[in-house]
Formats: sequence, structure tokens, C-alpha cells
Amino acid sequence: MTPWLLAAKSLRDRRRTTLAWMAGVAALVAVQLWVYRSFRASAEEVSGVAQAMPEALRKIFRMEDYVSETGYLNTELFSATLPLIFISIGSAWGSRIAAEDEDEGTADIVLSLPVRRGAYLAARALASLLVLAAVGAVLAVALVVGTRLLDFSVPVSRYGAAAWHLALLGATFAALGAAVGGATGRKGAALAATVGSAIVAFVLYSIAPLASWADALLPWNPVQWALGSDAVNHGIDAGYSVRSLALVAALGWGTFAGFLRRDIRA
Amino acid sequence: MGSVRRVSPVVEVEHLSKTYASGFLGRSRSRGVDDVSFTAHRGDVVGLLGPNGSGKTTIIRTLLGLLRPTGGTARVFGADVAGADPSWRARTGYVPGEPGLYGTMRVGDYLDLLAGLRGGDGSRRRSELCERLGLREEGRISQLSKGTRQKVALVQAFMHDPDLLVLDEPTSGLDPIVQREFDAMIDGCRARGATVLLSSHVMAEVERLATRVAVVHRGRLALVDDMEGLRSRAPRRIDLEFAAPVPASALVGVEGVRDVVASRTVLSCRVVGSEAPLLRAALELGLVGVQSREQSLEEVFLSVVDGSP
Repeated sequence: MTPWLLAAKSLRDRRRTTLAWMAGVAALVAVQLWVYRSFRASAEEVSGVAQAMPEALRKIFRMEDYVSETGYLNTELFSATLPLIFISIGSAWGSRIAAEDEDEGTADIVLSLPVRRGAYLAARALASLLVLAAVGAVLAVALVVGTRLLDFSVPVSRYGAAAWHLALLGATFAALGAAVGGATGRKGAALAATVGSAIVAFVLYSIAPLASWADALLPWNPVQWALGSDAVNHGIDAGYSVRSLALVAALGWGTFAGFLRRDIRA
Repeated sequence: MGSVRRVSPVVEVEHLSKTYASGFLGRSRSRGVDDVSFTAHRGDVVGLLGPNGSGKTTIIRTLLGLLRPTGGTARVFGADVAGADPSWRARTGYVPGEPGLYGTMRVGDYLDLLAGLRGGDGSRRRSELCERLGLREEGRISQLSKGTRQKVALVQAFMHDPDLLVLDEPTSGLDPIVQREFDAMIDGCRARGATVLLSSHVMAEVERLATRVAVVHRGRLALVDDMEGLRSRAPRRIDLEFAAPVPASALVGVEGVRDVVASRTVLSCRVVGSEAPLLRAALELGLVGVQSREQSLEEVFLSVVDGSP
């Protein structure tokens, strides 16, 4: 029971940042929906502008359909902005799970208490997952409320599905950060590895429509697992969800294995 | 005391070794400690002495399960410190050499958190300790001075009346008044039968508080003994006064005599073991007076460290 005090402490320490992310996501959704409302009447003209853009650019940003409700949401929110937000949250929290206390020199006292290292990690990982879930929930609620006001015809469950896939994307990179932090005890290394991997994964996903070799890598790309199924149109993709969860579980196991066996840095 | 020694030791270290991986991919190894064995019983205050980098902190951090031993075993309250069950740590208190505290928290909240993680309360004892050390619980830790943060580290280590205290340079940054309180706190621990492992660079502090001393040098335990035993083993400095000037060479070759220095009618030397051969030789040279000085712990420490390979 007592290690959960550590989860509460993690959440309390980062409450302002977390609230800022939540507010930011809600504001982003509100602004994008307001923009859509303003050009909805002249959709054909806007579509023409989009179609006038270079084809490569349209493919990279998935701008094939800029006019329909789901096409607009995909282009403006789900193709880049929201995935990058969830990756950022996941990377920032994940790199702290195992390495923050060691990096800041606060691990010695906490880990000399009767707290199992596994429970310590689990508590901190729980805090990270709760934050991702909370931001995901805010996103889903903002989408539901906003699109209801604009009379979108997209079923409510699709927004939940899209938020689920984004939260899984964040969890994947959080788990990667935790694993590197668990193995090294260095927050900087964990963050660098996570951000670097995220950039590579995102670039590969983006150029996949243009490069066959990048396209061939999509089945192993976590960004594809989150975005490739087009959750706003098709709901939760069970296959991609399972792959994401399996990777999170594997990285989680790696985190525990690394952290439980090694020396704690002074 | 004999009956105390028969019960299981509180700390039992056997052939403990620790090497650190370093360099590219951890391919090279650096020494932490090598083949360290000692025990500490109920009521012992064991002073760990050694030069910087000798391995004191490695021993302490291994005992608390923060480092994984590469050889040998360490047991605390009978539990293997490398084992999965950390419940024995509820009976320990620890002050690290560089206490890292959660800077964003207030002192009281931090102490609440640690008490909660230990599964206890101890608020009455905590208030008493804060009062003794002049520590206010309202302050934010990041805004405290080094000495005040050290007080927080002391309170968190003592507030649950642990049976084992592991203290690494515990009085660093404390003013003399608080140091006096600290001494009284250690005396209180010893009186109630708690065991204390105290690593310190302050020889006077170890001399004042420790019942036994372990000297760590180059990763090995050079010596473990109680204070009396330590002094009797160490060379004693003796000044001999003669009726007339005597050359230093007159005592060369006398059993146990070292470092003879002549100054007019006085010969000063160090003696290891029995003083009888020296006194017999001196009497033949016209000895008129003898002065023997007890070695300070610092001199004992330096003689052990300088004399070790």
C-alpha cells in the first residue's frame, strides 16, 4: 500500500504541467473545431487550396481529404499535432520513472526504506499511465463536446478510440524511456533515446507513402499502430492495440529487469 | 557483555567484495571493496575510518541493498541485503554522505512521506527531534541551508527509533551545538541497545562516539578492534631523558623500537609491542626519565594507513 504514496507524490509534483497539457489539448481541439466551423460553408474552395499543394506534402501530412469531418480531424489533429503531444508527455514521464530519483540524488534515502524496487517502479509507472489516461480522457471529452456543438455525425465511440490509440502511443514511448532509465539510471539518456526514437518513427511513418522501404517498415512502427488504422473512421484496431500493449509490456519487463539487478547510482 | 556477544549479530559481513563496471560497455572493472568481513552487535557503535575513496561508502551502500555485491554476503538482522524482501529496512535509519532530499516538498510533508513509506508514524519522536535540532517543519527543503538539510536527514533517520543506524558523514555542515545534540542522540541509541555504523572523517567524533573502529584502506578492512585494543596495538611515542647526550644510533636494533630521534639529552622513538627491551637498553645508557604519550586515534589511523601495503 505504502509505495502508492510515491505515485501520489509524482502526480502532485507534476500537477501543474499535467493540467497545462490537459488545458492545451482541450484548447487545441476547440480552436481547430472553430476554424472548421468558419470554413465549413466554403469547403469546396478550401479543398481546392489543399489539392493545390504539392502531392508529396499532401501525402506526408495525410491531406487527401481536408473537407469531410473525419478528414479534417485527421489532417489537423491526428496526423501530427496530437501524436506529438502524446509522445512528448510519454517521453517526459517515462524517462523519469526509473531514473529521476537517481539523477537528482534522492534515490538513496527512498530506496533504503522498506520499499521493494519493483513496487517503487510500479508506483511511478502508474502515475505516468494515469497522466496519459487523463490527457486522453480530456481529448475525448473535448472532441465529443466540440463536435456535438457542430453537429458532426461521427459516433462518440470513435473519439474514444482515437484517444485510446494516442494514449497507447504515449505509453509506448513512456515505456521506452522507463526501460532506458531503468538500465542506465540516467534521465538524460532515457529522454534522448526516447525523443530520438520518436523522431525516427515519426519520420518513417510520414515518408512511408513516398518511400517503399519506409512503407515496408510500417508494420513495426508504433506510430503506424496508433494512426494507421484511422480510428476516427474505423474505431479501435485490436491488432494494432495488441502490438502496442505487447511492446509496452516487453519494455516494462525490461525496465524491471534492468532496475532490479543493477546498482543504484549515488 | 559476554551474553550479548552470543546472540546473532545485527550486521554480519563475510568476504564482501564489490567491483564496479566502468569504461565502454562496462568492460573494465574498478575496485570498490575486496574481501571485507566484520560484525556489529547490539549496542555497538562502529566507526568506519578510511581515506577518501577507500571503500567506506561502498560498504555502507551495499549493506543497505543499494549496491549489489559481486562476492561474499552481507546480512542485516539475519536477512540477506541482496534479497528481495526489504522488510528489515523498516528497522534501519540511514543518512547518506550527500543526502538528496525532495527539494520541492516542505520538511513536514517529506518526513510524513518517509514515515508512510516505512509504514509507521513516529510523529511524537519526530517533533522531539525537530525541537532538539532546531528544525522547523514548515520550510521548503530547496530553500534550506546545507546544515539544515543535514538536520532533516538526521531526523528522518532517527525518527522511528531504528535498531540500526547507518550514518555516512552525518555531521557534515552542522554547527557545534547541533553536533553536541547529535552526540547525545548517538548515546541515547547506544543506551537503548541500537547498533550504529558511523563513517566519518572527523577523528575526534569517532573517538568520542565509537566503541569499535574499522579502518578501511584501499578497499580492504585493514583493522577492526575496540578503542583499547586499537591503542594497545598501535605504536606508542616515548620520550627518554638521559643524564648526558646519547646518539640515536644507541637504540638502533632494539626490539620494537622505530623512528629514533635525538635531541640533546632526549631520545624520542615509537615502540610497537612490549616496552621492556627499550627500557632495559635505556637503563644501561643512563636513563633518568620516561614520558609515554597515548596515541590519538588520528595517529593510530595514520600508522595503520601508512603501514599498510
